[in-house]
Amino acid sequence: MSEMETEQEKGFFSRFATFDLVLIAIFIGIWYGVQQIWFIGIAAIPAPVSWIFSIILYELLALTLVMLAATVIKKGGTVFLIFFLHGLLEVVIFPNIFSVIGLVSDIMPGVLIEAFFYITGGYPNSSLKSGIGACLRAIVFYPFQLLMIAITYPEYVEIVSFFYGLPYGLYIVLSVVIGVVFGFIAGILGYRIGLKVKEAI
Amino acid sequence: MKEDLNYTTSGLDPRVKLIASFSFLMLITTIHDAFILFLSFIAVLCAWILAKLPVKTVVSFFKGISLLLAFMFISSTIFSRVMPKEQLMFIEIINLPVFGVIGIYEEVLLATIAFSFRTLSLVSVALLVALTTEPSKTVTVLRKLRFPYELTIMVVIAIRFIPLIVDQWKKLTAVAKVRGVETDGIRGRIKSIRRLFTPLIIHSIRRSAQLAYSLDARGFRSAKNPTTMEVLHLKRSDFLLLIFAGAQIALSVLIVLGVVSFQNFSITQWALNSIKF
Repeated sequence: MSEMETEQEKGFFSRFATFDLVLIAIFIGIWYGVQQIWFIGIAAIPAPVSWIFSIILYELLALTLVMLAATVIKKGGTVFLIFFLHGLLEVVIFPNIFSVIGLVSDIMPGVLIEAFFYITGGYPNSSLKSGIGACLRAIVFYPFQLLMIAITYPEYVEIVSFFYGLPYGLYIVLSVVIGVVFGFIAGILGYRIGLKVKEAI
Repeated sequence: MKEDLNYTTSGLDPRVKLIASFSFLMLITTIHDAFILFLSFIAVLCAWILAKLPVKTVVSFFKGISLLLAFMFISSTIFSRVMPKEQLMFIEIINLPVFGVIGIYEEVLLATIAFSFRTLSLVSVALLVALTTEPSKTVTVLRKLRFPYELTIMVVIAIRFIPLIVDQWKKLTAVAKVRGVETDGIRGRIKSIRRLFTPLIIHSIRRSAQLAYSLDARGFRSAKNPTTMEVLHLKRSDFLLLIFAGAQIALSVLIVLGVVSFQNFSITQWALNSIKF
């Protein structure tokens, strides 16, 4: 038994208690579930507006949950694990090339946010740090994801100019700007709700 | 929970199903003709029939997705603000003071038809795989792909909890309504989201604690390499599907390389030209 424990202690997952793992899984369930619900609602809105709305709502929900989990669990690797699991879940539930791109795109912000927290001395202890950490996602996620989609599915560039009336480059820049602003807000929200939740449990 | 997730087993190996769905999706992203995409959707429909899924599930899915695509189709066709490269046909719907002339361009119409059928095929095939594969088999596949055990269990928990969370959200909304909290309309919904989010999270955390105790009691993580109850074996039908998937991949590569083209075979263009007035 002791040998087995030593083996497990070496792994990435050893730092997480079973409760942490289940909590992350359930948070991913919330993220994915709500994402599916609003996707149907947003499709009814005309194209340029729906795009802005989807980024705002996506950032607000996803980053609030991520920073909430980071505040409650406070163990290095939590943010990375959440992003990775979300990407993996998309691949498992909805297997297609875009979900694979999504998985790779999800890994990068996970690494960047983890690096930011590591350099600045650990997981957030202020809403400002949480906000800055959260807004980093948009900086790497949107350019990478949209460029990968443009490479694998060139028609998408035409679709964007058709339906959104924007050049593709501007579309990427605007996605990043909106993402950074609302990611920052979501990070602050996540930290504050996280503190409340911590008190409640 | 069983009622929410009424999985139907197709008898096919989940690994082969995943490969086949990926190859199909690869093929439909390389095809741009609306009619061919319509045919591909018909092929997916046939697969749905062969899978013998409950009629209720099929009807509710197609009801939801049709509504979604109808909205997408209308909004994308009418509100597209960019003039197409070639203006083949234009139907004026209304001339508004601020927005100008709102109408339908043939090129936009063709693009949205193709886009709609591609989305429909994409969603249907992915959902078909999901509905005919039990989460326990998904775990087995992920384990075969050498994913850590903890991660595979987390994926299954997340999948299992999606309907439960939606159910919990509905309950919280009902409670808020009884207490007189406004939940109707866009403003009311935004306010209610803010109010209901914290109790939903707290409830989820309590549920996580219960589930964590149950998992620990059942010896979760006690073994280094836990075995799976189900062992996957490829059957003749799996090999046939693999050949089919290989053909799809080959066709996609040929289309990308320009060896095969459907441009001279555009029935959609022909149909639109014939009804042109």
